[in-house]
Parts: sequence; C-alpha cells; structure tokens
Amino acid sequence: MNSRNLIGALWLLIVGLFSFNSAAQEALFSPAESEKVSKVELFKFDSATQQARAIALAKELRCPQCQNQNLLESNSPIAQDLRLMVYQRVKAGESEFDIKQYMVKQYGEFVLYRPQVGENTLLLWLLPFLFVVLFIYSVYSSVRAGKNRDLGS
Amino acid sequence: MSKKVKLSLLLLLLSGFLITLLVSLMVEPDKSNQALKGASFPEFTLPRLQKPELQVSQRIFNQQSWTIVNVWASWCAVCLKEHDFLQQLAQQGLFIVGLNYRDGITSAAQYLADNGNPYQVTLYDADSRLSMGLGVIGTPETILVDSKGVIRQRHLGELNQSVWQAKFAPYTQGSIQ
Repeated sequence: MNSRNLIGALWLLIVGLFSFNSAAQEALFSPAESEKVSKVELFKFDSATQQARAIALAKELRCPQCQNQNLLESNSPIAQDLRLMVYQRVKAGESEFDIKQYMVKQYGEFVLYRPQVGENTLLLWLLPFLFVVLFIYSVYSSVRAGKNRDLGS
Repeated sequence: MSKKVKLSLLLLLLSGFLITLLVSLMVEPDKSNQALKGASFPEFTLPRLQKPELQVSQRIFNQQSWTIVNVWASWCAVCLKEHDFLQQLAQQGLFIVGLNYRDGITSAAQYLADNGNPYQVTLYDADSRLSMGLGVIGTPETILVDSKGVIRQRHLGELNQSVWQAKFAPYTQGSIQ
C-alpha cells in the first residue's frame, strides 16, 4: 500500500513537472505564433479546386529548415509561415510558376523537389539518359562480342 | 582486358567512391542561405526591443560602412554560445544590430539583461515579417550589410573567430570591396 502511494506521488510529480515545463515553453515564444497556427490550419479558400492546387504546391516545396520534409508535412514555424504565404498567394491568383520563382529567389534552387531544367541542372537531368545510352551500348557490344566468339569456335 | 586489370580497376573505382563518401561525411556543408546575397536588405520599420516607442528602418545601414545583423532568440542555445564573441566584436567597434526572432518580448529583454548586450540596436520582429523577407531559416544567423543596404555575406550557425576570419573579415577589413 505504501509503495503504491509512493508510485502515485512520483507519477503526479512527473506529470506536474512536464505540464509546468510546457506552459513555460509556451510563454517563451512570441504570442503571434499560436495565432498563426490557427490561421494556417483554418485557412479559407475560395473553392475546393483552389485548395487542392495550393496543397499540391505546398507539397512540391521543400521546407528550408527541415530539409527532408515538404511545406505541408513539416510543422516547424517557418514551414507554417511559408505554407500560409503559399495559400495566400494562390488565393490572390498568383501562378504556380511565380510562387516557385519567389521561393527560389528567397531560399535557392533546393526548395524545389523537381529542379527546373537550366544550365546548372542540365547535367542532373541528362545523366540518367546518358547512363541508359551507355548501358545499351555496353549490352550491344558484349552481345556482339559473344556472337563473334561463337562464330569463331 | 585481363582479369587482373579488371579487378584492380574495380578496386580503384570502389576506393575512389568510398573516399568521396568519407570526405563528404566529414566536411560539414555551409547551410547558409546564399540566395539573397547581393540583394538589398528588405525595407522594414520595426520597433526597438527595449524602447518599443522608437521605430527603426533600413536607413540605419547608411550611417556606417558595415553593419552586422545578428538574428537571435532567447530560446536559442547556440545564440548563447556565440554571445561572448558578439560582445568582442562590439568592443572592437563593429556596429551590430540584433534581430529578435520568434520570441516573447519579456524573455528577450531578460536575456539581454542577464547576458549583456552586444547590440547597438535590437529590433523586435513580432510577426516575423522581416525575418521571412530576409529568408531566415533558423537562429543564429549573421548577415553582413554594407552602407548601401546590400546583403554581402551570411552565416547560419554559431559565429566564432574562424568563421569570422574566413567569411566576414575580408569584407570589414577592406580586402573585398
């Protein structure tokens, strides 16, 4: 009975400590943050297609802070801000291209999951095709060499 | 090609590949946002952290040849690590503007009261609009701005003597115009 009480008290202490800690953390951040979260989560689009477009675009953009997540999946404050920015721009009627251009101007090419074809990304885009051509060539030449050997023997 | 040549070629390629992997593992890439280097600092009007009744704008850059903008927050542990170095820079007479990022105004002021204040001016960016315009990814970030208000250099992460010598000193000491 005594040990049970002890465990209960310990449990209370742990829960108390953690809840105190999270309350302290909330006060640490700027009050605008929680406001922003609800703004993003409850963003009102004009239509369902507009919403689908905005969400698809947010999925195409990398979060600059947590680089293995896109703007839609990441819950870091900067991803939330940028998601809101994407939503607002889509609602204002900006094109997908313009929004992507803005993101590249602000953070660089790496925010695009599918980099645009340009002089500095040409190698990236062409390399797979080059490998396929090389592979076909090597298969072709080895088959021909095998044939020649068979004919010779 | 003989089998021996083929095998040694394969081994050579493999070891080259492994060395490349090892080297890239050890070299830490500079993750600083270089996209806005050479662009002008976004226009802003922000209140000062300790004197919110005073507003500061981008004209602050025109008063000295170099301004260091340091993005920081009271919840950021790495900011505290570089705080002493910032104090040193301030003592050397460099003009440092603090940009407080996603922070509560009281905890930010308390941080400066506790740890000393290396900033000539501290901006309080309550809705983080300026930080967004600047392309701030995280704290701490240090941005070098010239007297025309152009962003010349950026560093994301702890600022220390070696980073300063490599990335910033060439500008402030005049070897890069």
